[in-house]
Amino acid sequence: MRRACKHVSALIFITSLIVALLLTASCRKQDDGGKLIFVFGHKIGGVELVKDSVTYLNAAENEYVVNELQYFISEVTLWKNGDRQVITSDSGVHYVDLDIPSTLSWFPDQVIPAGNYDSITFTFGLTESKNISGYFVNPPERDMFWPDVMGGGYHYMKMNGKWKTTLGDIQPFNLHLGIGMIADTAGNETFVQNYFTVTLPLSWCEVHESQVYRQFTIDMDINSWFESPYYWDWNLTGGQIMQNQDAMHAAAMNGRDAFTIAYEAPDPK
Amino acid sequence: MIKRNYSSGWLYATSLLLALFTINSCSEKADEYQPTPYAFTIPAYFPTRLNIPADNPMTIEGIALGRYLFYDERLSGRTTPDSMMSCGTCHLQENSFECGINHPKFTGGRPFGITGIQTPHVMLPLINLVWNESGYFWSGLVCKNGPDAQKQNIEDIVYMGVTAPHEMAADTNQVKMLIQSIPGYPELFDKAFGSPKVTFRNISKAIAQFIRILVSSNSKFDKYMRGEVQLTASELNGFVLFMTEDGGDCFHCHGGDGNPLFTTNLFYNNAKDSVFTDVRDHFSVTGNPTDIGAYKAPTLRNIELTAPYMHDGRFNTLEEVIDFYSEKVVWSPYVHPLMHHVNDGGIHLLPSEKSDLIAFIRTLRDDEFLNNPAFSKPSSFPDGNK
Repeated sequence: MRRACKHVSALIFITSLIVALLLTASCRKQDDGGKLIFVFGHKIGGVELVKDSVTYLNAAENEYVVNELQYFISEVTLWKNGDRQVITSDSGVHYVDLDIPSTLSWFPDQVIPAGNYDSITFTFGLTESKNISGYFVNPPERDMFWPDVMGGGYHYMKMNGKWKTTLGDIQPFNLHLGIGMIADTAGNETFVQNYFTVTLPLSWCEVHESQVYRQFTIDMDINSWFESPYYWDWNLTGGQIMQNQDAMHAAAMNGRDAFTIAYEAPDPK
Repeated sequence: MIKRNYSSGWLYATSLLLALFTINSCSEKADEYQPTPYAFTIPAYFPTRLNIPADNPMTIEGIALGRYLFYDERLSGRTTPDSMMSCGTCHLQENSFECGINHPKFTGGRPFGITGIQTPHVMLPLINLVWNESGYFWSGLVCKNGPDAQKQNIEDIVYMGVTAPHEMAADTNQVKMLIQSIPGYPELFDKAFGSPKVTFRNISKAIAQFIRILVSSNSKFDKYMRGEVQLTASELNGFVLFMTEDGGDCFHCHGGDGNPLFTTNLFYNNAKDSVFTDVRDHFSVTGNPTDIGAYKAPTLRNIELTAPYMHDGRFNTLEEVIDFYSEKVVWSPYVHPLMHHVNDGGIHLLPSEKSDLIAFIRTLRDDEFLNNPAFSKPSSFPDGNK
């Protein structure tokens, strides 16, 4: 009986030791850096986009209304003196949909090592490694699929709305971005990747030990898609661009500077 | 020493309590009846996320009971032949669990209930509903996580179907009593839910389980996607038209090679009308003016069998539907922006393109589904009745 008691005590001691060690290890892990939160905003002229009901004016003075906006960002990376820290979600991709509020914020699992970071980059859309048909089988991401006959994979972005033509008609537009297709005179088709990297400098960004969460707000300025370097007039491009690689190229070039980033000041220690 | 004895005492007491809890929970588990879980097989390319409520897991026994109830016209709570009705009265397997335009009773595919009142809309087929997360009915009235706690899933639709004046117009107490009195049913309820007592909730659960196994995944197009068959030249042309923005641009709403359900299960105003009077559109659910005149995009699987088409059954043939999208769409402020040819009246297909498109759409017919004996009416009901 006494021997059994001794064994129980030893067992309790060892268990306590293991628990203590585990707790210490997990605490230390949190202190190694911080986690990030991304919030996605969508603005026109610095004011939050109001979809469906508010009419906006682009650089070409097209009056337009946005009804739906859905897009992917992927390969989000923080940079520190040329060193990279890739931030991943489960699939390495985040889907944003104006109609699904839960997609407007993103809580990646990865702990970012402490340090001062000087820029953040992300891919708008999907690179070849993930832009594969069948990669997403569940909605809503699945409904972004881009038909195989047009190159396959997924729409990088769907922006659906309506604009007023020079004749005064209200015409639907579908700013859909994905793999482009070019056919030569013999009818041979070549597919073009239109995804692009967005680089956002961080004037000062410190991820600090014990500072668990930092919030970044990534804003998309809708009008930037229609301004520079390519002046976008729906009366010239037409409303649909999935099979118009020139227009998709112009949209992809314009999209590079459609984003800005803001972040909260660190919590006081 | 005393201290040590004290802590040993606590340890002993805690262990004893733990042991008692364990024994208690074990004995409860031994008494609790567990029906056999149903192993749901997800076909190639299909979504992996299933809309199965946590409180109604699928079981072999639940599905077996659900199949009987789905087809048993005593579900209407009545026994006189001219006033009996079941789900299977209208939802015919040979028409993709839809009424179909050739229904022997419902002329022109326009069903009406026991009291003679016509349903507000024509039917939607019961097919691949286990993957629908975006609302049932043409309007999306019944929706998981929707505002009405009583209208969330297929279980609730069973209740609505049994009680609605334009369907079975039944009294659920009468239904329960009648089913309870039929020899064989109490035993089946016991096997499915661990109690022989018939409750309406368990009736709904069993039928919903059966409806969730109605999976279509073996059409000619599925076989083509799996590399088992080749499409004809016409079907392939139709496929390309279906899948291209400059062609028919059907895929944005109806799926395709990236979405084998052949529906997004979402809601669109597809430019049928310029005046809207129907009080059961998607706007009636969301209150968002952009949803005026919007209805669910139905699956195109077995679509050749589910005429008449559109929420109000205005088109009797696939040819009429294609003609509509080709030349007859009309502008309204509520038209969905994916209807981008609206100002041209449509997509203006050539006659050969129309027939190619229809040829492709016919590849979505799944004869295995339409003839699957596991989905068919049982040869007899639990009491031996046929």
